[in-house]
Amino acid sequence: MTTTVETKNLTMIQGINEALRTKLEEDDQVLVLGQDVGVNGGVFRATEGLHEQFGGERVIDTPLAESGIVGTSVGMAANGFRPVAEMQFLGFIYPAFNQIMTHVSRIRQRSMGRYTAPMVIRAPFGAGVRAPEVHSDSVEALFTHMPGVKVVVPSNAYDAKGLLISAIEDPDPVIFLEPMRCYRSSRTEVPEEKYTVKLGKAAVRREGEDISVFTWGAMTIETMKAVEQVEQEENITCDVIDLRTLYPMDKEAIAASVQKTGRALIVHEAPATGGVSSEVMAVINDTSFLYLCSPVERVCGFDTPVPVYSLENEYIPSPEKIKRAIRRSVAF
Amino acid sequence: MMLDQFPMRQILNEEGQVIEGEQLPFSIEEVKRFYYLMLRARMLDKKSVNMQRQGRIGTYVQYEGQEAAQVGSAAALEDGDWMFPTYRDHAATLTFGHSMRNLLLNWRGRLEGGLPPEGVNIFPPAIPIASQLPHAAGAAWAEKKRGTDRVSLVYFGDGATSEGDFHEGLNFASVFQVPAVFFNQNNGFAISVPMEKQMHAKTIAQKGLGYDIPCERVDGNDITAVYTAVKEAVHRARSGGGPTLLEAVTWRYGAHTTADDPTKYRDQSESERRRETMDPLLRLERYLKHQDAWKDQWVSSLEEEISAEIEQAVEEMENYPEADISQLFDHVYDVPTWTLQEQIDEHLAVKGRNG
Amino acid sequence: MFEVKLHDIGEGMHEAEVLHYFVETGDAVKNDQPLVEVQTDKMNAEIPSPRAGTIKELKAAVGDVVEVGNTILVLDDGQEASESGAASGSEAGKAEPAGGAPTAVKSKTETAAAVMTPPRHKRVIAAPHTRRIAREQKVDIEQIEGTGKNGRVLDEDIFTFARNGDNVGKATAEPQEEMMPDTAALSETTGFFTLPAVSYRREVDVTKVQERRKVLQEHGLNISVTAFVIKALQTAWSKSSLKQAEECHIGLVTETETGFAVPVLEDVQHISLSRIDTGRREASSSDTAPVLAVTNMDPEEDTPVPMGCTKVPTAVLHPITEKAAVKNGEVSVCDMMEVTLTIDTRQVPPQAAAGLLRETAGLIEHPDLMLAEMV
Repeated sequence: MTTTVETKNLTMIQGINEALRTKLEEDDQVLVLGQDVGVNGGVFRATEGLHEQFGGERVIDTPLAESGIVGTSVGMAANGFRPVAEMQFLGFIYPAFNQIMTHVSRIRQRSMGRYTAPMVIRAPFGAGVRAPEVHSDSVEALFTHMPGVKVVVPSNAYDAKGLLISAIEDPDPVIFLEPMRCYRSSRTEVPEEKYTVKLGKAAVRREGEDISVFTWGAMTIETMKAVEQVEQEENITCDVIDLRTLYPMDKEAIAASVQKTGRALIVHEAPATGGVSSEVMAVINDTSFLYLCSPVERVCGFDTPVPVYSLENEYIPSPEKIKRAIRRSVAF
Repeated sequence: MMLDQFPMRQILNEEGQVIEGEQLPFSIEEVKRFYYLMLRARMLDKKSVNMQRQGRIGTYVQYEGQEAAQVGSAAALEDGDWMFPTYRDHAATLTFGHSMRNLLLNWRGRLEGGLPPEGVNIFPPAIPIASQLPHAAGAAWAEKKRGTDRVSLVYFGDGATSEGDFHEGLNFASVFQVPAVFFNQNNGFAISVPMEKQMHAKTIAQKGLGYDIPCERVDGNDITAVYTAVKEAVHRARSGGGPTLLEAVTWRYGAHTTADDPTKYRDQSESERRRETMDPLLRLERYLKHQDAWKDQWVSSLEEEISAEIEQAVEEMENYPEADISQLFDHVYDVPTWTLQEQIDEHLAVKGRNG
Repeated sequence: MFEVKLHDIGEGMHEAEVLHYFVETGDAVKNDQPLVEVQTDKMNAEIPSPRAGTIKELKAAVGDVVEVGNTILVLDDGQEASESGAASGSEAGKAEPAGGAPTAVKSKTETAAAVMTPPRHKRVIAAPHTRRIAREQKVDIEQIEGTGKNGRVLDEDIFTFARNGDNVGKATAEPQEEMMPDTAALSETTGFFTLPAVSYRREVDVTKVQERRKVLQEHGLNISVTAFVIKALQTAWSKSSLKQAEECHIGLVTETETGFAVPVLEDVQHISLSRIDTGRREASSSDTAPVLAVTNMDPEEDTPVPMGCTKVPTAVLHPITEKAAVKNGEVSVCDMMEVTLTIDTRQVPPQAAAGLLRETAGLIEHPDLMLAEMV
C-alpha cells in the first residue's frame, strides 16, 4: 500500500511562496501585505506571482510604514481577517515594536478573549548575504521574550512551507523569521500538496552519540559542516537538532538528546548575552542536569551590533569555532 | 492663516443661541436627550473622582468638560460600528453601550474594564498614545473588504498627533480610502505640555491636508455641532467617501489623572472661567431656557435617576467577585504553552490549590 | 462609627499633610461631601465623605502629616461597630507597619550566628552525570578523592569507592527501589546476591522486530519478542569483552510458588530463534551457571515477573508501548520497549555492561543485523 506524493525540488523562498499561495487559495480571510509585496513580488520574490493570481485586494502593496502595517493588521485580524504582514528585513521591525508588544501580543488578554490577532509577521533576517547595515540583525530573542507571540525559524524549503502554513492557521500571532542565507542556498523535495509542520517541534538533522548540538536557521549550515568534519577527523559523532520553533521550544527533543549524549552545544548567530541559547540551557538544566558530563557550551555572535559586511564573516559563528567548542566539551 | 482656513464649526454659541445662518437640526426632545447623556457622563466622572479619593478605586482619568465631544460623537454611531477609545474616553464608550459596572471595574485594575457587552464593538482603551489609530484603519479596512457599511471611529488627543502612529494610521486610511473617522479631542494639554509646545501648527484639522482627506474643526463643547459633524463624516465613510479627520476643540477642567496636579503647569482659574462660559451642559441649559423648555424639576428627577443608576453600578462593582488567578493566565495564548503551563502549575502548587 | 482614612491617592504616595477641614466636629455631612483638603508631594486633593453621618472627631490637626492607612477623622454613621474606610480590592488601605525594630534585631542575631558557623568546605568537583551515578550507588561523593583532572571525581572513582570494603557500610549500593521489589525473597530462594548494583536503562525501538514477527507468523512461526531479545543479548555478549568462553548460558528469572527460580537456557549461541521459545518453556532449574539473565515484566508474556539483579548482568524487559519518536525530522509512532540492564559492579566493568546494552539495543532495532551473526 503505497501512496505517491508529488514533490518538487524547491528553494526555501519557493517553499514560502507555495505556503502563501496555498493559504490564499484555501482561505478568503488570508491577506498578504507589506512594502513591495504586490506587483514587485517582494524584494526576495517571496510573494512572486501572488498579486497576479489573487489581485491587489488580497496581496497588498502598503505604504512604507512598519507600525502602520502591523497596526492595521491588528485591526483587520480583530475584525475577522488573517493578515500575513511582511517586514522587508527584521532590522526594520523596530518601528512596529510598540504595536507588536502592546497590541499584537496582548489584545487577546486585554479583551478577555473577545478580540484576537491571528496574524503572521514574516521577516527575512540574519547576516551572510553582504547586505547593507541594519539589514542583517538576528533579534529573535526580542520576540521569544514577549508573552503572547510564537517565534518560528525555518531552515529549508520543506519546513518553511509546512511551518508557514501552520503559522497562518495558528490562533496566536506568529513571528516568522526567514534566514536570508537559506532562501536559495539549498533545495529540498517539497510535496506539491498542502501539509503542515507542527509548531513547537524540533527536527533531528543528524544522529550521534557524543554531543547534542542545538541550532536553527542559517546556523544549521555551519553546524552541519562542523559536525561532519569532527566526525571524519576525530570520530566524534553529534546529534544535530534544528529547533525550528524558538517559542514554545521543543523541550522533549532537547531533553531526549542531552540525556542520550550527556553533552550539549548551542549555536546561534545572535549576540550571546540574553540570546535564545540561554533559554536552551535553562531547559537542559531543568530536564537533564544529572545527565551532563560537561558544561553546556555555546557558540554565538558577539555582543556587538551586526557588523557591516566587510566584517560579517568574522561575526558569524564559523565551523572552526563550532568544532572547537565540540572538542572542548567532549574533552572536558 | 490656517485658523481662517479651518473655522470652528458651531451651531450653538456659548450663550445657547443658534448662530446666525445656522439651523439647529434637533427637536427639544433630542436636545434634552443630549443633556441627559452628558449629565450621566459628568455624574459618573464626579463619582469616580470621589471614589478614588476615598480609596475605593485606583488612579482615575477624568474627562469633565469634554462631555459634548465624547457623547456627541458616540451618539452619531450606529450598532455594528467600531469604537477605538483611549483611557479618557469612557463618556464615549458609556454612551455607545459599554457597561457602567465594567467601566468602573477598569479603575479597579480589572480586565473586565476592556470588555463591553456582547455585540458592542469597542476595543479595550489604548494606553500607548496613538497606537489605536492604525487599528481603527485596519478594522474599517476589513469592513470595506467585506463590503459592509460599518465604520470605525477612533479617539485621540492633541499630544497623539505628534506620534508616528497618528500619521501612519491616517495615511493607511487615506491610501486605502477606508471608512474611518479620526476624532481628535484637542483639550489643549498633553498632561502638562500645551498645544503650542506640541506643534507649530495652529490647528490639528490642517494635518488632514497632508493626507488629502476631509478635515474640519468643530467646537468640541457644542454637542449639536459635534454630533452633526460626526454624522456627516460617518455618512461619507458609509457611502464610500473614505476617512475624515475632525478636531473637536475642548478643555478638561481637572487634572490629567487623579495622580496629577494641574496647578503645577497652568492657571486653574482658566478652568473656572470656562465652566462659567463654555461648559457643554450649561450651553444646553441656556438653550433650553431660551426655548422655555427647562424645568428645575426635570433636572432634579434626571439627577435622581442617574444617581440611582450610578449607585447601583458602584454596588455591583464593589461586590464583584475578586479577580480569579485564571485571568492572569487565560487568553495569553489560545492554549497555554508548556512553559506557561509549568509556571501555572508551580504557582498553584504554592497556593495549595493543586497539591 | 466610620474611620475616614488616608489612602494612597497618588500612585505610590506615602503620606499627606492636612491643609484644612471643610467640616467641624458635630457637622452633619452627606455622601461625597468634601471633608478635608490634603497636600501630597504630587498634588493637593479634596477627600470627600464616603458616606453620610455626623463628624465625631477630627483625629489629625491642620498641619499634621498623616501616613497612608491612618485615620484622619471619625464619622458617626449610626453603625455600632467601627469600620475603616478601605474598600476591599482597591490599592488603598494597605497600611504597612512601620519598619519593625524587633525584626531588625532578629536578623542581626541570625547574621551573627551565621558568621560563627565554620565555613563549609568546598565541594568536590564532579560532573552532574557522575553525581547521578553516586546517587544511584548511594555513595557520598564528598568522601571521594577524585583521580581526574584537577582532582575531579570520575565515574570510575565512584565504582572503585563502592567496591572498597572499608566503605561497605556507606557504599553498599542498594539497588534502585523500582528495580528491586523483593530482594530478600530472591536471595533466599535462589542464592543470588544483589549487591552492589548499577542499572543502565535504554528505550529500544522494537518496531522492526514486530514487523519480522508478523512475517514469520505468516509462515506459521510464532516467535516472541523475548526470544529476539535473548538472541540479541547473546549475539552482543559473544562479541563483547565480557565473553570468557564460547558457551552463553542465559538464566530466565521465573517466579514459582516458592519464590524465584532461574532455569537456564544453555548454549544460546547454538539455538535458533524459534527454538529459544521452546527451550524457554522446557528449561528447568539447573546447576549450570548462567553468564546473563533475562526477566520479562510484561504480564502478557508467559515468562515471569519482577526480580532484582543477579551476580550476572540481568536484562529486565518492560512492557512494549507505543510512543512518538522523531526520526529524520519527522514524528512517527514506534513500538518502544524499555530495557534495563542491572549489573554487579564487583563482577562486571560498568563500561562493558553499557556497551553490551547498546549493542543489544542496536541488534533489536535492526534485527537484520542478527542474520549476519547467525551460526
